[in-house]
Amino acid sequence: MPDRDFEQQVRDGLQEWRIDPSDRVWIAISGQIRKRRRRWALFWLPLAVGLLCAGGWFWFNSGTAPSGKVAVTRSPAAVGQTQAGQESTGQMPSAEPRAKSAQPSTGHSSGVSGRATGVSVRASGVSAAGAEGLTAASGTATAVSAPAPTASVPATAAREQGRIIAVAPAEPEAGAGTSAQALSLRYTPGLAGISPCTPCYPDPKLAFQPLTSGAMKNTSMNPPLKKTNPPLKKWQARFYAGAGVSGQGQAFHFNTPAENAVYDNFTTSNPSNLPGSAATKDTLAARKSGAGVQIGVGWSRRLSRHWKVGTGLEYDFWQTAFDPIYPATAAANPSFFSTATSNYSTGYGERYVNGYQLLQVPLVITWQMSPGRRWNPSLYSGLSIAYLFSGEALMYAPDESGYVKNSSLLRHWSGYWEAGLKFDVWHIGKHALDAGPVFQYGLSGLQKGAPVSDHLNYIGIQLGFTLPGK
Amino acid sequence: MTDTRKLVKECLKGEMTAQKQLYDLFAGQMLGTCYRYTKSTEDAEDVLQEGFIKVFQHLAQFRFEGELGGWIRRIMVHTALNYLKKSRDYQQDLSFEDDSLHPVSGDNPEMLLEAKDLVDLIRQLPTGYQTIFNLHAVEGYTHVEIGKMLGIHEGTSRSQYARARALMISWLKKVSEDQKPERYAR
Repeated sequence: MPDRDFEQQVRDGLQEWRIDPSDRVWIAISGQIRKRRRRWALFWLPLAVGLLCAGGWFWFNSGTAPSGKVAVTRSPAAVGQTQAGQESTGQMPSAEPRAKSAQPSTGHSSGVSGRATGVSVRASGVSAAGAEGLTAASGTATAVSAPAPTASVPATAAREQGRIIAVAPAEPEAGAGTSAQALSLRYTPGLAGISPCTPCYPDPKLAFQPLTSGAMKNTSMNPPLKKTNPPLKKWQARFYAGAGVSGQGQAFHFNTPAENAVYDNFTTSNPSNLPGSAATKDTLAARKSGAGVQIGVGWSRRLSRHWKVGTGLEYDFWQTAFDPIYPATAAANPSFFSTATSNYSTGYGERYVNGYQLLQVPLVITWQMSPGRRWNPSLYSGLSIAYLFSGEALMYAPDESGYVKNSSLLRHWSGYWEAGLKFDVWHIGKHALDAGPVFQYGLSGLQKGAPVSDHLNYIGIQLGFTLPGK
Repeated sequence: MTDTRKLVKECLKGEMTAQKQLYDLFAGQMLGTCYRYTKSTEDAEDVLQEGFIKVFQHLAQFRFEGELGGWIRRIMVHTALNYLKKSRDYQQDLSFEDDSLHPVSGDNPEMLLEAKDLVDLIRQLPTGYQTIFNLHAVEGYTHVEIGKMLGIHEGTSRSQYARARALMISWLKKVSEDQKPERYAR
């Protein structure tokens, strides 16, 4: 069949015909592949960090009343009339334990693999640029004035009955009957912290270096398909800083949104139960969270290709704060809040901010997924010894049966656990800039010798700069 | 001999060296394909670039059921067709009028041409003819498949191909008579 002869000749002559593309094509392709990877990281990394932060925020904000004593006292200067010298208990609803294939769709199997045999069409390699006569373009949480704390009831028992206790000062209160009652709240704070040390190395040998088409055919750009392990530095130093969300509360306890909703409805419809229940629950239980920053330096030594151990020194400044009353509850009962408990005249009660400063010496172990390569994801975890050397916080004082602002209670040693993940986001020569989420949890209670199980925690994003050593 | 399966796996891990090797392996041949569908080397390289990005993007979908080269070629062809449809330079020329069937010439001239010359002849065809000629004569797609690919009737593909074929044969005859073919007026 003559037609077939013609098509066959064309097919045979052209199927294996090839022309060499100019270098700009691969430069553009590799550039776009890198850009896609970067885009992926720019989208997913912040999303993952955001989710972690949101989860941390929810966790920090959803704790219940701490297991220690909860004392609400009035200052001598400003006295309350309603509950002077007596305990007022507010019934609370019992809290439940919380515990195609890319294969083109045509389905056509290309029959383009014939060989030119017996035909006079000859295939010849032609340079693309040459073919067109063109040259290749190179592309690419009051002080409590808490003056005289008197009676206090173990919060544990009260909590079991679903009550929260408000303790009034024993002293006669001047100005009783006034509405200028300054309820002051005491509570016990908590803390946590560590530092990661995980460096990484860029490998210049893996950097793409465009070659001429001739060189590509013959040499280094066509290495055997063998994974090459770049040499890694034994010692590394890393400087890092971070910011995030800090919080304090009971360890590993969640208030569900449903529990919060029930609580809000209850206190709104039964204001006589306030403020004891609402105030204590609101202030001491759940909402202590704030911001934190950290800065540190670390050194690490490589144990194997994927494992490293490191230590360092880290400074943390973490704050936690609380808003004593649910805004919704206060807004729904403005008269109650303005007369019975004047301190809530604003509708929101007092806001108190705790601040903690720590020095930590972490011991961290790091696992690097692909050391020496581009993103080099690294997981790390470790323990640290921390010294809480400064604090601006209301602390529970067992000797004083209440909460006082006593910085000496804050000077103590504690332990923290940390874990994190980081990626190399930029390579500058042999050095690397990394970023990733980090979580730190106070293993011991925040307060020295206190029965309050109040832990300090932190979750944030860390940026680090790693310098290769020898 | 290159272990294609290993090469693909390395590429899927994102190793640039392997991707470069895959590119080197097929770029020349694929540029040859792209070159036939376009009118300039720059356009062909644009198609090649776009095509290879699709290849790396969808490489995980390659099931090793056929030859990698064939799979890549099909991606290149589809990329070229999309390029022609999108590019203003080609849109005007890419019209497929439903002509009546053109009698298929039985001529079967002996082609004493080098592949490059043959490709240059194909590129002188109007874009519509050129596309259908390439799809049918070179790639081996049927007219039904071409109709689906281009969104035209199967008969249109046949008639366009017949015209393209006739033109090619006449030009080949001229060439065989040592006459330069006149450039087709676009």
